Amino acid sequence: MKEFQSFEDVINYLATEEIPFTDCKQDIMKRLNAGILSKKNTYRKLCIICAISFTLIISAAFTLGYIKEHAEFVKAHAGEIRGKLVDDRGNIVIQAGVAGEAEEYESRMLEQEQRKISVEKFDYIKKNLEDKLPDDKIAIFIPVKGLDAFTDFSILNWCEYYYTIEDTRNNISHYGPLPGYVPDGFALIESGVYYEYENYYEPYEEKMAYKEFLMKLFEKTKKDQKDYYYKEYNRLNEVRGYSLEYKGNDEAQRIYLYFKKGKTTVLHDSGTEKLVPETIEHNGRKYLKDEFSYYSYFYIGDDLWTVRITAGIEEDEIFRIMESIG
Amino acid sequence: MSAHLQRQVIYLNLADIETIIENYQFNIFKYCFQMLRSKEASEDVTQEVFLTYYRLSGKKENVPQYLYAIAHSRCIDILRREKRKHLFAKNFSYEAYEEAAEDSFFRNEYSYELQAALETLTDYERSVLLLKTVSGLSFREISEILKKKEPALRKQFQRAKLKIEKKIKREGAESNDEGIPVF
Repeated sequence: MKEFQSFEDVINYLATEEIPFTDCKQDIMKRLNAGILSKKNTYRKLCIICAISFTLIISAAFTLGYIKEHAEFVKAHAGEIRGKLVDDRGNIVIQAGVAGEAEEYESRMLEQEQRKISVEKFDYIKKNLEDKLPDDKIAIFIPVKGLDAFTDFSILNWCEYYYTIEDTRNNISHYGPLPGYVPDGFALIESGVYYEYENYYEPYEEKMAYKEFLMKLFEKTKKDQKDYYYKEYNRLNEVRGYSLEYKGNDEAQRIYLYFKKGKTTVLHDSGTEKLVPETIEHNGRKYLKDEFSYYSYFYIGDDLWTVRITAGIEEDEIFRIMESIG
Repeated sequence: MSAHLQRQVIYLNLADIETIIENYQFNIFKYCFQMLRSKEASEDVTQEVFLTYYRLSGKKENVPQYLYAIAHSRCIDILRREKRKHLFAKNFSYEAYEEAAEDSFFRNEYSYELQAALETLTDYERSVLLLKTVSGLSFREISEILKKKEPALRKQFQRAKLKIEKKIKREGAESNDEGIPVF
C-alpha cells in the first residue's frame, strides 16, 4: 500500500483525486420548478433531526425539576433558546433553540465515544427484555459492562405502534387531538403512542438530581458485578404523547406530526448556528416556525397539547393540517 | 483565484440558477466530498446548497463565497451530527457507523491514509485546508466564507499543515518499525 511522503503529497492528492461526481443539475431544477425547496436531503435531514429532537423532548420530560420551564434540560445540553410561543393566558408553551457547542458538551461526547459495551451485546439484551416485557410494564435499562462511568440508559416498552389511523384514534381519542386533513397522496404509515409510567425515581431521595439517581444505579450494579441494571415498572394508561408519520407519493416525501401533552422544548441538534425561530399568526392561530418545523398548541378542556409539524410541503398545507386538528 | 470565482450581482431567475449550478456544482461537490468523504452525503449537501442559495440569493452578491459558506455550514452540521449520534442515539443505531457501499467503492490505496491524516484536523482546519489548497481561495476570501479573521485562518492553516506532517512522520516511523504499511 502506498504512503504519503510529505504535506505536499497530501495536497497534490486532494487537488487531483478522482471525485465520484454525479451531475445533479436536473434534480435541483426539477425541485425548483416544482417549488419544493426541501425534498430528498432535507427530508432525510428532517428524519434524523426529528428523531433526535424528539428524543430530546422526551428526555426533557424525564428530568425532574425541569418543569420550571425546562431550564435544567436546556442547561444539560448547553442549549440556547432562540424563540418561544406564548399562549393567550400569557404562558410560554413552546420554546425552540439549538443544543450548544460548549466544551462541556464536547467532553460528554468524548465520554460517550469511550463506551466499551458492544452494539451487538446491547441489542441482544434489549431484544430479550422487549420480548419478555408484558404490555403493561416498562423497564429501564442501564448498560454497565465495560463502562467506567454512566453514559446512557434506555426505557423499554413505553411506546406502542399502530399502522392505521383508526387504531391510533382508538388508543388516543380520549386524550388528544388528531388531524382531519392531510394533503392528497399522503397516507399514514406509522404512529407511535407514548405512555406515562410509574415514577421509578420515587424510591430515592427527592432532592437527588436525576443524573445522580442513574449514576447511583450504575455504581451499585457495577459493584454487584452485573452487566446491566434492569427493572420493570408499571405503565400507566395515560398517553404522554404520540407521533404520526405520513408518506407521500414520492418515497422520500414525509409529514411528521408530534403531539405532546404539556409544554415543549425543542433543541435542534444540527449545529444550526443561524436558526432563528419566528412567531407568526395565521387565521387567528399562533405558530412558532423555525427552519425545520411549525409548532402550535391546543387546549382540550384544561389540558394543553403542543403540536409540531415537520414536512417538506407548502406552508399553506401546513396551516391546513394544523387547522384541521381537533 | 481561479476564473470561475468572480464577483457578480445577482438578480436570480431559474435560468440564472441553472447557469450557476453548471458553473459551480463540481467545485461545491468536491469540497463537500473532501470534507465528508461520502458520496451520498455530498450529493445531498450539494443539492441543498443550491436550493438554499436560490431561496436566499436576493441578499447576496458574491456567488462562490456564498455557495462555499452554505456548503461549509452544512458539512459542519453533518460532521457534528455524526459525532453527536454517539451522545443521543439511545438505541445504538448501526446506521451511525455504517459506511455506504458506494463510498467504500471509491476508496483506493491512498484513501485510508488520507482519511487518517484528515481526521487529525478539526472540522474548521479541514475546511481551511481544502478551501486554500484545493479550491484555490485566498485567506481574504476564506475569511468571508468562514466569518473568521485572516490571521486566525493563517494560524489554522499552519496548524493543519503541522498536524498532517506530524501524522505522516509518525506513520512512516511506525511503518518502518513494523516493516508493514500502517494503513
